[in-house]
Amino acid sequence: MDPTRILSLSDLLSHSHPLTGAAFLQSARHISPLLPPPLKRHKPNPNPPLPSSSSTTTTPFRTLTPLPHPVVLVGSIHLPTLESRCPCGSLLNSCLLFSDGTSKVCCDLLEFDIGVIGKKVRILGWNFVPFKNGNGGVLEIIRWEFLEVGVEDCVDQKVVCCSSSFVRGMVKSVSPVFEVPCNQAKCGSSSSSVGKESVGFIAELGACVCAICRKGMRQKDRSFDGDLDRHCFSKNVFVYFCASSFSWHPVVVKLVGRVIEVLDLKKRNVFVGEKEPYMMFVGRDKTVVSRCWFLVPSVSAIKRNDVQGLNELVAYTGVVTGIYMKGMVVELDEKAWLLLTDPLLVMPHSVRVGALISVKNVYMVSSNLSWIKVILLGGCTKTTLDIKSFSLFDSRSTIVVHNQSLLGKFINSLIFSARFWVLLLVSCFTKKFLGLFSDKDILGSKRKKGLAQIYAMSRLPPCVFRCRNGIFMEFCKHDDYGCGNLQEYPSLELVVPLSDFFNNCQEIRMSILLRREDGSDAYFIKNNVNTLFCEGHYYDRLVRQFISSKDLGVILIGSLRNSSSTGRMQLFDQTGSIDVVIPDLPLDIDVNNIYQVQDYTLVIEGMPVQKKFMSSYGNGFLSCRSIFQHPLIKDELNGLTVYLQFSLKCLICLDLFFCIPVVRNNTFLERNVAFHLLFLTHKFPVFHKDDQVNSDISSALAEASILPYDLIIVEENRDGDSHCVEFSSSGTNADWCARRWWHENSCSTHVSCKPSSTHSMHINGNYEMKSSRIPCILSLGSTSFHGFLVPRNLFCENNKRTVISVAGQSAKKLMLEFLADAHNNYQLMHVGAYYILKERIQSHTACHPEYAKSGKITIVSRKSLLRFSFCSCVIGEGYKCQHNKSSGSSFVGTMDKLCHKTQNEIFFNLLNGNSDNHQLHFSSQHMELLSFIKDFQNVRAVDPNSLPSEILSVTSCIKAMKKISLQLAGTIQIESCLSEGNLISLNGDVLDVHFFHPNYSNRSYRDETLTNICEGVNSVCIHVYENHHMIKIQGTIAKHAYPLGMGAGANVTFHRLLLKWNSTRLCILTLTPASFLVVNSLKEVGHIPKSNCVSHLRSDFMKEHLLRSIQHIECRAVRIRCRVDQIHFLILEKENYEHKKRPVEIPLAGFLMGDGSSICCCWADAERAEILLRFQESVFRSSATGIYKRKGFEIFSLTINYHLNKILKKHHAVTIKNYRCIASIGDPKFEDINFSVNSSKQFSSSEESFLKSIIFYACRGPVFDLVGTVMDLNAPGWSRFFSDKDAMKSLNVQNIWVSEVGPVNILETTRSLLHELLPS
Amino acid sequence: MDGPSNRNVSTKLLCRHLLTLIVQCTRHPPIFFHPTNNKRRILRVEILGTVVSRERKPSFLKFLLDDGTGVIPCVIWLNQNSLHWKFARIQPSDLKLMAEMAMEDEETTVVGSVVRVRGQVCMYRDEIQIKVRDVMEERDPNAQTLHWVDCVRLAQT
Repeated sequence: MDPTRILSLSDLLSHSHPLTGAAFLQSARHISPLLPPPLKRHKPNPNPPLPSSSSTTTTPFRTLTPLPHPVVLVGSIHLPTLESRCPCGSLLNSCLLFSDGTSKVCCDLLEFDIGVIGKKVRILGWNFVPFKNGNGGVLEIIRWEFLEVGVEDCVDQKVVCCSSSFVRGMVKSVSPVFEVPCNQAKCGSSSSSVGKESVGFIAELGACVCAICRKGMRQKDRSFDGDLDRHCFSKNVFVYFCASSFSWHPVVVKLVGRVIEVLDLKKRNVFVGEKEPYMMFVGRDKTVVSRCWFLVPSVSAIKRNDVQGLNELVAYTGVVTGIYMKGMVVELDEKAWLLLTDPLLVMPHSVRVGALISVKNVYMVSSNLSWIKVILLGGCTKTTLDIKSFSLFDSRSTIVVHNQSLLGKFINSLIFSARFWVLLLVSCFTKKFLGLFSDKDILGSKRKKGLAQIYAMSRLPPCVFRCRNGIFMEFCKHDDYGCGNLQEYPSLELVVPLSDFFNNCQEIRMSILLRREDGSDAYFIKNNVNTLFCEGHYYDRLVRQFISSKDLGVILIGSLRNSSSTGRMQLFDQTGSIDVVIPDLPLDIDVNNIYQVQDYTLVIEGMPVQKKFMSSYGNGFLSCRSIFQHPLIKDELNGLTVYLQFSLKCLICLDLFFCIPVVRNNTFLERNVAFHLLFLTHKFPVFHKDDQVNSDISSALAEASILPYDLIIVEENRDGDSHCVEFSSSGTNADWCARRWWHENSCSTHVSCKPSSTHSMHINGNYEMKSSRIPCILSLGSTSFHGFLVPRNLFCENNKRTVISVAGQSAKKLMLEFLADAHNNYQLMHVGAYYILKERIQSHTACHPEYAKSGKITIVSRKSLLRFSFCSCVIGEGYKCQHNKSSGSSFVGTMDKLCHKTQNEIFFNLLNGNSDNHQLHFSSQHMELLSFIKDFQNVRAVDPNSLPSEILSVTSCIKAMKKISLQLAGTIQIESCLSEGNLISLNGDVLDVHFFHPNYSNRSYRDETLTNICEGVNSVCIHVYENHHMIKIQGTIAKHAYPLGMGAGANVTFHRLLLKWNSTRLCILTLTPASFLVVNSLKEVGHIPKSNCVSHLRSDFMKEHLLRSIQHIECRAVRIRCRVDQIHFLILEKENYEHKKRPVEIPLAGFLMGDGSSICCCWADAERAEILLRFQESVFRSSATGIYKRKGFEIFSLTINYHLNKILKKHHAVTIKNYRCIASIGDPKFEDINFSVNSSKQFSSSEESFLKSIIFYACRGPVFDLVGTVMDLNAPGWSRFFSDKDAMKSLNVQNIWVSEVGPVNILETTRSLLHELLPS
Repeated sequence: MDGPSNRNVSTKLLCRHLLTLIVQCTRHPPIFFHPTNNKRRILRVEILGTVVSRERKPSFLKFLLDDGTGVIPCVIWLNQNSLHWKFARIQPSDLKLMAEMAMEDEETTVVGSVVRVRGQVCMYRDEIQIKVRDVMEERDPNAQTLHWVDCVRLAQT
């Protein structure tokens, strides 16, 4: 064995490398920091969680470098003083010091003995961890021994004991070291202490009130030992260690829960709260602390620390598994989060990842976060941290210097759960906007609020703010001014970085798969839900899942852009991006702004994958650890497609909110310039010039027709005012202005717009400018512009320019080419919509022979087009518009659809809707124009032989195909190598899409994933159906032409499909390179219903889930007269729609009903359940609500609505189960009723009584006449709700789904029964 | 079907049938069988008739119900609040609720009114009586006729 060497501290410091000198310790108790000394109330995990092993993304910590031979240190341990404070420089960080004469260093030691202070010791086992800044380090003393034998307590026995200068008691809590601004004239008795009294700390001692202690007897008195049972540490005494005595802080912290004696104190009256004086002991320069070894506090004395309830001060011991946010957040045991946000709370140097620490006097609170539930330990002024075992990891100590910025003050003005939320938010904002904004912009400074703070202030309810008091108030009157007074407030939703969100979609899918493997697969296999059989082959079917933002509980913030590779609209931040679908996104949206999306639907779709092939981070959905950690590297999602769908109204611009100057899109239409009006007829799929699928999109093409009118915005200004008037229903000025505009410009106009057979315009009358123009008003939201519609040729003539000959021929067909910058326009344009070409067509361009010849316009800017719809106005009625049916009448209805979307359907496309709210109004005198435009639109002025004007349904398409087959029946087929047929447009619901390879016809494609097969150009077979008719579309499709959401469950419009026939006169539909697919809406496909998908998210009861299960009803109708005997299942949910009369929604209720001879189980929902529950009776009987009656409520308020609303507002949903009532029909028993609520809030006894009274009252109801159908209880899905299914089976009753319920027509029933009974 | 659930159903009966129930006294409490179908066990009944007599005692209300075929004594117990020892499993708030409901039944039971009574058949001093579960007033005079018809029809099944 190597001889033990002595290392000097200066050598250790000069080495400045993390070392451990504990490798040669032989003692079983101290050999390894990972085997902490046995604790009384904490059983550490034998395998402490190692941060490096639990997450692949954490920076792995190395273990400390062991020395190759035994090395000891010899020196002494001292208290810190004002002159020789912690070398880390922090004024408030008080730690013990170790010095050996050569140097001194911060230290911490296990198994603390107060006698070690000032004595020479030999350090046998130790760790040395240098600070990150290289200035010193911390010496962690694992094992030590006195160098001199026979040392005793350091307390000088000569100190005179008197009642005024002596306190004995159990240390209950210790405040952190703080500074108090003090008046130098008043404080400090000696000149040497002037200015030093400002630093100190307070200790709360439970002093003994027994006679012996009151006399101040010391431990040397013999009579003292025999009266241990008399001691009761019940009297709270505060000792203010100020001046030099503050150096006892590290000692007193380690003695929390022990009995100590403090000698040489002064008694002072301290005014805390300015009303009554508070007697406090104040430390002097010579104040000495010693421990009473013979007095061990009884269990009752320390009971307060063992209360393990929410919002109570508790003690917690655990392994540090993470330190985040500059030490303000400490993760313990991978489950609890310790908040040390208070600037006074300084984390000891030894609190490193891997250390076992004990936190005392910390608040245990529940996190009020919307997406996850974690345990929070809120550090307050009474909180102390003590090390139980040092870490062997090389996790360097961070010297935390709390800079009290505005953000720091803001955080500390909140309750704990809100603090944690703000810290998560700050972490998210830092990741999201790093690079876009500076740290100072995000976090703020001492004078300016940062983005994170501004945002947090807007989200937090007022009740989370609390008034902070001084440390004296908060410590000494903790119950009144501490942190324990918590209020309830709605759950807080977090803004997450998109990379975290994107990566966590994998977790969501994992949870879906886990659910499926829990036993629901039988349903899928039985019903063949996940396989498709087509032409002799099986194909896997797409699985699509919708998850509402309410279930996820997170908010997304980012900017919009078009992906350079896919062309799709994306929401992006500095961490990542996600595809988005905004059906009503206007063309002129400013993509540079920052938007917030709070209400959205997450769509997850992909082919079925087995769980074993998927990777998981294992942290769960958006764990706090993943949020605090650095951005994750974006993983591939294993063929998973993830995107968001939301409407424009959910897109909230945050620029003004963030005080960012907004560049408004007011550079609008120029005056006295003609703008072309376009009608979009087709969009061609995007293509790549270099034929590489992964390259950026170069350009895209669309086909449009120019209307024979141009728009001119005039700039007349008769009264010196602009012609831009505000549209307002109440704005009389606007009305007057508009009327004047109509009147003055319509009187002299004699325009006759009549489409001829060739769709040209004949203009009769005066060819002068004024007479031929049609006055119009272009309304752009709240702003309007006055102008004219002018026939294009006339405008050119009048301006003596070269004329494009439009008159006398059909409308001009035009190709629009969108360059990369204008690709946004391409994506947002809709076939069948009108657009104003905002870019001024210069005379030389517009009339350029090339333009006239090729008919192509290149769109360069993203703000070149403006969508509009025609609208005719009735003058004098305040702009009551009659929308042109072809251009916007369905917009309102479509918006309603968007707003009130069904649970399992989302919309992708606003058919015929003008979301931009841009309308071109003109007088009712010019209604001919509308009819002309309508005719023009129907014909589309393109080649009428190739493109039918209407979009066919599947049924009409099949009819057309049959018709063609019949027509071809008598003809001789001419062999042709070219495809022959008609181009049509088709709309229908996609039943399924599968890819196939024409050359591998015998191969099964079950293992092919969508991603693999979707690269490049693929052969695809699309099954489209409508009303039990199905049609197949085959052909090749490029990856970029494959729209988002395309697949089973989508409603798709196919433009320019080729309806062709082959030699056998069989008509087939094929895709062409010009075919364009538009997804209109989506439905969920082949998934487990929503409530069970994301187990750790909110689990609201899903009505659809039930309804889907109930589809397995046998259609056998029954009619019974019966009374409610028992209620054995009831779900009450809060009604989401405010217009509903009742605040409660009943998704399902189960009644045991008797007709006088037998029992049946009737299931009902909604209004039927309400009738059976007797909710229809307006006022609840007073006897049923006796519990409320006594509280003095008025009788009119004793309605069911009132109480239910109150309960459901609190709990969202209540489920009542009373399965055991089955065994006791006839005797209603309350004790067996089981209540469960969908909230973390406590279900009070008064609420329980009220709901019981509802049940009891319903069981005493009248006879009802029920109509229903017999149900099959063995149908899949039921077992999910009824765990006690055996009880249901043993009941052996018929189950009936109630479709109608009402009172009995007694007279009629009696007559009919009598007729049955009487012999005929 | 005479499973455990249907055995507990409140069987619609006429008072005449109730008074002639077949009683099997070999067990306690005695077992009752339908007079016309001795395999059908009767535990709970639903009767409808006019209240012809009413006797209020501190802990119960005893009334006689006449449905035209006979008169049957019925008892509503009103002592829930004073029997905590007996209902040890039941919460005090539930007991209060039960007591309030019983009080409401007591108020409904007025001499001359037509009421629908559900309850358990039991024997008291060798007489059949009904331990009332709930009482509901019937305002439609045809309800009594319908009840007769129901009882006749159900007796045939």
